[in-house]
Amino acid sequence: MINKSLIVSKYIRRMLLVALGGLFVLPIVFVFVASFKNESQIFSEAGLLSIFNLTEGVGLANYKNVIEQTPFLTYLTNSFIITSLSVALSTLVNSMAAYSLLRFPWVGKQCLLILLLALLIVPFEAVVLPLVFIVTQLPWVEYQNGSWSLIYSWFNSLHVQIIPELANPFFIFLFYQYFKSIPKDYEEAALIDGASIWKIFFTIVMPQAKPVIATVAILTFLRSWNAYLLPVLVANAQDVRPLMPGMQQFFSHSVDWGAVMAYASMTTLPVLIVFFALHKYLVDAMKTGIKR
Amino acid sequence: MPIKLAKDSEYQFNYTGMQQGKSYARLMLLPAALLLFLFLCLPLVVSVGVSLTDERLLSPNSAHFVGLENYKRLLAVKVIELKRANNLKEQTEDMFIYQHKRYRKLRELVRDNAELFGYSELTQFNVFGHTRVVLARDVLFIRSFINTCKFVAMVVPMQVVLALLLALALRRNFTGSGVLKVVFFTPVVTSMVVVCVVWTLMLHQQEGLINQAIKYIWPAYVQIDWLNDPQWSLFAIACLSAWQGVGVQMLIILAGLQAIPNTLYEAASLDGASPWSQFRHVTLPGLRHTLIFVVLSTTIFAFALFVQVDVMTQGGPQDSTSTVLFYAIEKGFRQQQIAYGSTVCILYFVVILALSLLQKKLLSYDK
Repeated sequence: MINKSLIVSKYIRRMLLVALGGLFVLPIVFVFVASFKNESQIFSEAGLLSIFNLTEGVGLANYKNVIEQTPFLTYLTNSFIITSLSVALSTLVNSMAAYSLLRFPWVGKQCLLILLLALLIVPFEAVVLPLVFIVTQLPWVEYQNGSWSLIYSWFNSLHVQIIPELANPFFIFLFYQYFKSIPKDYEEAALIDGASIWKIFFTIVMPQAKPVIATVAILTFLRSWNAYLLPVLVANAQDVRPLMPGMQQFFSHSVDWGAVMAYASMTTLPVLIVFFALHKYLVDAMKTGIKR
Repeated sequence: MPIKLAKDSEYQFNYTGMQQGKSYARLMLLPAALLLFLFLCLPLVVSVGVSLTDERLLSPNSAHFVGLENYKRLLAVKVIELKRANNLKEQTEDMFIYQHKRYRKLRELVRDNAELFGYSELTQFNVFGHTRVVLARDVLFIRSFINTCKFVAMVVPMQVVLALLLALALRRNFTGSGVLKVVFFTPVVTSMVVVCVVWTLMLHQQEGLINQAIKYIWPAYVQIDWLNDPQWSLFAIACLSAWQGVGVQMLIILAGLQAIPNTLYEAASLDGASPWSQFRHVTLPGLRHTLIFVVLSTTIFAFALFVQVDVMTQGGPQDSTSTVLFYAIEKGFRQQQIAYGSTVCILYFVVILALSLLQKKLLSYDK
């Protein structure tokens, strides 16, 4: 008798959980569904079931509008460049630093590591204003009209959205911890055989560090793709603006909800694809990633 | 997540006869060191320096040293007591007495008293028939700080309790539990800007999904204009933030649950412990460490509230959603008062630092 009621209550609990799960993804599903409707349909079909009614939808018209009437493709290209370079460089810079710290006898190594630990606490948001101040004074070389010229500001560029966030104490520690689990014997043997440190690093160490590379790459991908605060402050020009600030701009000036939702779908889809493809790695990444 | 420092020799290369490595070692560390210095250490130092001046962004005038003036302006709060002047029969307006003088308006009072220069009203309250007025020099900052604290007080319990419930429900694997974990995690990877946009639509007063759903269940419900009602706007933002972030906390708590040995539960059920007392005496103590971590890191995270406000409400209505970070950006960047904005950032950093140290202390004490 008791067992029976326990089983029944278990099933009720699970059904509740499934219903809650449905409610949870509803807003995201809503973005995609609404992107195929026009304004009046979005508002008139706002029941829990009628939002899925696509029989009178406008097809891809909203998508066409967004692509033709907003600089969406420019934003997309910018975000793509920023994100891919960030992922590649952040993995490289942080892993190299960790490897160097672990394997080489640095003077005052403990101090360096403790300093890194201290820097972990500093939130990016706390330094973002002075950062704006600093990037207005930094020099950069640019190729313009057939010659190289020196520019004294990083404002409104793509690199200003990549470089400041590359080095990350937390990522360095992730690599550091992981490299500790790799026995140094192979590397020492390779050293004795005359291999260079670079060769050892790229052909022996990095191939063994795939899980942590995945973690860092995914966290960097999400952060760069979804970046908002930094680009809002340092990349105001349209030709360097990435997707999320672009979306905010479009959202605050547009009254066409269907088009806004089409924009939102197109920015969310790549993330969701990556998420569903890599969610096993991503879950591990997030567990470690909350720290930052 | 304690990070252990390596004992030197154990992981280090045996260095004899390998001189070339030294320069490579420097080269490998150089980029990260340079970047960390330039974009993390230097800004921190610069912001302390700048906060002592009246520097403006992109201004041709050079800055002046002003000492702690920015800090004083931010934090200055005064409470004054007013007596009602109710002995005057002929009075038509409210009058009150402050230091034996009568005033008709608070503005006049502030203008008349030199020590109150620059102050304006934050709020009023009554204690035993006397009106007390809280005055501040930067009313909006104090309000933003209070808003941020309110937000934390709303979002942290919401998020942690929901995460705990979800984790408890999903702790044992069953058909579809993996899919459900993915489902609850999906909002985390979705961009906050997208989340804000779709929630703005769902929170729409007349045709929004949320109000329609509530109305359907409870016909007498008077539709709340969530984002335009100062009483509800922050709560609405807290709800969507909890929804967006709960997946991470759920995963961490799930990991914490898996660390509790099953034998404890077996022993408890052999002793005839009810599910509730199992939860109370086995699960909760076993999760202590995890929960401290989750609560404090959610708090730290919630203190950085910015995107939601910037996209959805711009601090409004009536400054009810202005937060510390939003105010810092508003002042320091949009109004170009970088010195003042940096001061706000430093105060924000001090709060985060205190929370981080508290977290470290509690977690190390726990072990």
